[in-house]
Amino acid sequence: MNTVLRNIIALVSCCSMGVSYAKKPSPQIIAPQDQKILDQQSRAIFSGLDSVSKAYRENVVAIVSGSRQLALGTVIAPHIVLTKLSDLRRTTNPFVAVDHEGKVLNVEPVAILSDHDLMIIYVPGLKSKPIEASQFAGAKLGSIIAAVSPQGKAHDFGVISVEQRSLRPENLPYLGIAIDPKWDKDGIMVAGVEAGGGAHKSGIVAGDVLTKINNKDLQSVLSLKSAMKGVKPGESVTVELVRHGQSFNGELQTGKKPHEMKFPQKRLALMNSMGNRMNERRDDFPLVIQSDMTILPERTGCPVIDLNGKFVGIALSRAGRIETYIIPSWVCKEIIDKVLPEVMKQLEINNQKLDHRQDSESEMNIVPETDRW
Amino acid sequence: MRIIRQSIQSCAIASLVVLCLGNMSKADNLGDLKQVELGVQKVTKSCTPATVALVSFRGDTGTGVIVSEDGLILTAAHVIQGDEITQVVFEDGRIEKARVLGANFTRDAAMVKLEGKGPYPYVKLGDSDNLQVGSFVVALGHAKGFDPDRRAPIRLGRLATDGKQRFLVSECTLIGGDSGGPLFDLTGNLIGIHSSIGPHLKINNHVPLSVFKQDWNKLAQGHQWGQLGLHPMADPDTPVLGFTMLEILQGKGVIVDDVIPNSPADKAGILKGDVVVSMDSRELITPKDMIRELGRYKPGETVKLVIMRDGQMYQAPLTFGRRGDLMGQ
Repeated sequence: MNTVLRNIIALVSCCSMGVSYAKKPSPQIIAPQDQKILDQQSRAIFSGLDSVSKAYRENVVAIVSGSRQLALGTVIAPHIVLTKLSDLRRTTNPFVAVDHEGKVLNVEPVAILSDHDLMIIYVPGLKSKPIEASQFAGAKLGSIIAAVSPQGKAHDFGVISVEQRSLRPENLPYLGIAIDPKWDKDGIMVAGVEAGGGAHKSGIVAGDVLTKINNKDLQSVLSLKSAMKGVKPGESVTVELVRHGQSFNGELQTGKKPHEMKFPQKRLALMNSMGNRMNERRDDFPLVIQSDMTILPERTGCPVIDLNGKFVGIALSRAGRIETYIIPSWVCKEIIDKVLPEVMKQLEINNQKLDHRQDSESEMNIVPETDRW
Repeated sequence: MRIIRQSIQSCAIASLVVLCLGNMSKADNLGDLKQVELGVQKVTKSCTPATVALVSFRGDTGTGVIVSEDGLILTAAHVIQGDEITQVVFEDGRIEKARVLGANFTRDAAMVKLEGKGPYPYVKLGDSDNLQVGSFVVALGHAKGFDPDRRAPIRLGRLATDGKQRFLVSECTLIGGDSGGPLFDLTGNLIGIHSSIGPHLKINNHVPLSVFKQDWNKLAQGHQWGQLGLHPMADPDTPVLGFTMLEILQGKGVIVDDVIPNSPADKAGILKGDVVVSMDSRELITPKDMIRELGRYKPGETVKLVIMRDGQMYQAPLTFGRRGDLMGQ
């Protein structure tokens, strides 16, 4: 039974691979003998990675609906799995979890974390141990990382391309000024201020030339953005400006950046989709690490480890040709420490209610219907 | 005319050698991967400051890499097409103006020079002629344009070509904005400049550094020539054999149709109906393989062709001509 199921899962992942990745580049581009070298090397690389990832064989489950794999899940506490939200929401069919032994287990969604696009599911029959707290580690820029599949095999690898950052504009500081693009001297010419914005409140007016922010020289819009790097919305920045030839110093309270409308970029969209399949949700994550690993959308939700076998995060989204987003392990730790206890408490209450209801149902059944008449 | 009988064994030995080389290439186990990781981190640290964004006054954005203290920048020709002056964006968002120098549009190679005095951060030039298939390489570039919230994203991959082809092909995924960005070996030497992508994630094309080195002075002096997107078979500077290929599917090899009189193929004694099985021990199956392999050579170079004629194998040395010279006849 177990082997049959495992075969089904293997089949599922094979089928999905056939769509894009399993297809090798056409022979015109890469010479057959060169391809042979690459294939041989790939096998060696993955066997090296497998020696580290096998420690995680119990910690990954597959979330399956019918004959389709929807996502992977990471076991973060006893009977508790963290998995993808959007990919599971898409289906109207019921889904189950399949553990490393191929056992099919019923699941119960218990909490959603829509900011992170994660869902916490309760798997009563799951015997796998969660990832140990000692395995949690930070990710270093340029580190080689691998994504782990349910049997503890590394299925993809890449590097940390960009350190953790927020993809939400509202997490960026905002001054509330319009900049004159024609100004080509030092500093930034204020073309206008937004009513009620930070700049407005600090008394900045159109025609002022901002020369420094946080003691960093300003020269262009890009240097302004760079100078404000690390500033959180609501924090104050020091400003130096020139008005009518006179210099002034002051403080300016930043606000939240309003949500900008993103224009669809056809060319980029085309490049992103070339030989690539992506997750539905690809943007607006509050905190992610960017990697170049090429992961299939239905394999997101799995743990990502480094070469020392440390758990660096959970793969969240295949978002484009060059990027896969990963939620850092320390955010997962916060979820375990802060969100999970609440969820468990709720789960206990629900279970009690459920038990109670079952009791009353059985009580009702004792009374034969005929007696009512 | 010199045709030497070729033993099939030597062919087999050659392919064995290739396989052994494959075994020796880097990162076969965990220890090697850790070495690769160290290399990536070192390269990123030392080479990121020299990886600049190039933003044209029309708003188009690409990448370039500074290769000298006084601010010489290498980039892709399609990034600076139509510009005389472009803007260079540094890591901290600072913008400086730079003058566009020369460009070889056919090979997508261009040079730009910062107008400031410097000194600028710069990277070392490497050698793109002696690369190995399977070597790990690092790509940097301002993907999707300069973003002050992040540094140029790191991409790791292996080379799928040995550097002799028209383009270096690597697994380092590229996207708009990366064009003109640098490809490094694991010691931080520049070996290529990002040019284009293929329909597959593993096909990312980079201009070999040799293309710049070959015309260095011409580019530095501001000469611009060639044509973007030119098919290799239309480039007058590519090598030519001098026969047409029969487009029939058969077992193995390229079938020679017509041989142009006085062409390199004619001089090498190739006849209509010959089947070219391999070139410099590299297997040929279809005419497309031949076109790809031609990219490995320059006019004037000599290769060993293995030819099948009447069921017998022959070896024929052939010296390539220049396509422009032959077609001009």
